[in-house]
Amino acid sequence: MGATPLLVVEGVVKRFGGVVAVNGATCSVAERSVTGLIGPNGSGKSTLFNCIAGVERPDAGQITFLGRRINGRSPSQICEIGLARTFQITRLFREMTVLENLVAVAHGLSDAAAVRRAQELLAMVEVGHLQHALAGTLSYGQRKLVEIARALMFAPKLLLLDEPFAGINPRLQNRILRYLERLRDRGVTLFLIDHEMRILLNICETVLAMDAGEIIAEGAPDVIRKDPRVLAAYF
Amino acid sequence: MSGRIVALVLLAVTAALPLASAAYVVSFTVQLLLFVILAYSWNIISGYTGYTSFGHTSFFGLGAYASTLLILHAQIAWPLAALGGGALAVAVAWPLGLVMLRLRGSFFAIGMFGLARAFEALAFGWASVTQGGTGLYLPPAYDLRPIYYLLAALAFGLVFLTYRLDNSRFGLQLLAIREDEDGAEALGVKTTRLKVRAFVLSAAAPGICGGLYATYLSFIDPPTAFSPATELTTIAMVLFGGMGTVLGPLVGAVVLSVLYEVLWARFPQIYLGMVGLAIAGVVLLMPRGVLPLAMRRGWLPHGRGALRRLASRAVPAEA
Repeated sequence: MGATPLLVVEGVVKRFGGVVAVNGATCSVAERSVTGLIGPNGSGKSTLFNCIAGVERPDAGQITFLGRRINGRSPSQICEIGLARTFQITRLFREMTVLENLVAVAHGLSDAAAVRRAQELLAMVEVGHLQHALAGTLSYGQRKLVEIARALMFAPKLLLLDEPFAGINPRLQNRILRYLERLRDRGVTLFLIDHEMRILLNICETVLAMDAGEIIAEGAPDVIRKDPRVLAAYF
Repeated sequence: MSGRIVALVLLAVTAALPLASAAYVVSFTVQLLLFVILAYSWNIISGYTGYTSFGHTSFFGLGAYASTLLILHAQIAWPLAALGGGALAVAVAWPLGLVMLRLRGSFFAIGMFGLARAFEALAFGWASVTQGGTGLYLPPAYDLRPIYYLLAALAFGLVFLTYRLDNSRFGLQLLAIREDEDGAEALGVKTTRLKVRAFVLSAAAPGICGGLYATYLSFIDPPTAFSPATELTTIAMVLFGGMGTVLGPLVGAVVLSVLYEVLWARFPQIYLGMVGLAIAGVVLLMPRGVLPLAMRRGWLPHGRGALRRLASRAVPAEA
């Protein structure tokens, strides 16, 4: 690819008791690229994301983001550097309105500027009309959209998306795909976990495959989906 | 606009009450104001942030002792001594918050309860300073009005502070911590800093209030200063009115204080049981309290109107 790596993961290990969830994972994500991460359930994808986002502290290895070592830093410190995320199961603040969900996580903006930015982002994912709805009353698909908007509140350089296409209908999948393409065009680097090869083929330049806590293959999506190691891991 | 009129009327009634009422009414209102202050303070850390504290009387008790000792040994005027009580509560709350707020849920609740018991034991055991179980005596306060006005100012100040908090980013972030602390942290909310700030904020007024209460009673001893009954009554009031709301603590404090007084006067033997039944009934029928129910039914507007007003003013840019 030749582009500057924005995120570099080197030999990351994460153990939970006797279980090694991530076992020496090494990979990198190029600036302004879209990278996919696939792997069977339990292969360590979400744990690797949690290590990158600071939710889990790696037992070994190093994670560098924008040239700065970030392992050991708190999630809020990592966010400040420019890394945002969405969750596998949506985690909106249910008792707050959609707008409040976004404004609550803004920093470095006045209230008026935070509201303006939140409204712009909600309009971008076409849920502006829901701004005063309680988050707990939204459908699953709407929550996914609001969560993407919320993750963009502090203009991240890198957005980690944990299964953004899971559990929603193909029409909404296509909508989310369109929004992600728009973000990519605006220069946001995307790193996403998903199982939907149809979508990954569409948007990703590189796909990483994980199994038993290790990165077992890396390459273009159509190469990865035919890779015998990947096929062996899935079937 | 109507809110401002109600606030002004309430302010005028509170200001005029001691001038036109019997000593009994003033004394009752002093105790009511005390609970209003405690309820609003507890609401900041437990209602907004979701860290249910069963030991907030620690700060009340520390304030009471600090203030009494300042009056007795340093001959400081009682209003200043009460402020000293508040300062001590804040000074203790900051390091305590850093430690205690590492605990969550029931562990925090029980930890705080244990802490109040530890402070009570300290007050009993450190007899050379606190006179232990005998307690400390102050000159009697013949005129309750100065104490009344200071408590009223503190109570109104807290209602206003809660209104500002409810409409601020800080308040929203506290609510985010209440709903999903790990999620909020992962989205860049500095949860530890905010929790400690809320904890310290919630300790200041009980510290001052403890000092004023000692002056009001002219006496302080460990069971009065660190009373679990005061703690539980405060919690019941906020639960009744609605946790994490602007007016919930006020409604809870007024309704339960009046209920206590009426039942105590008419059924002195069984009033506590009746209050208990009333609270249990409210919790069963309105688990989130009166105000959230009224908001859900549309009888009252939802809080956090400032953000809504900003939203109606802003023009969203093209996607």
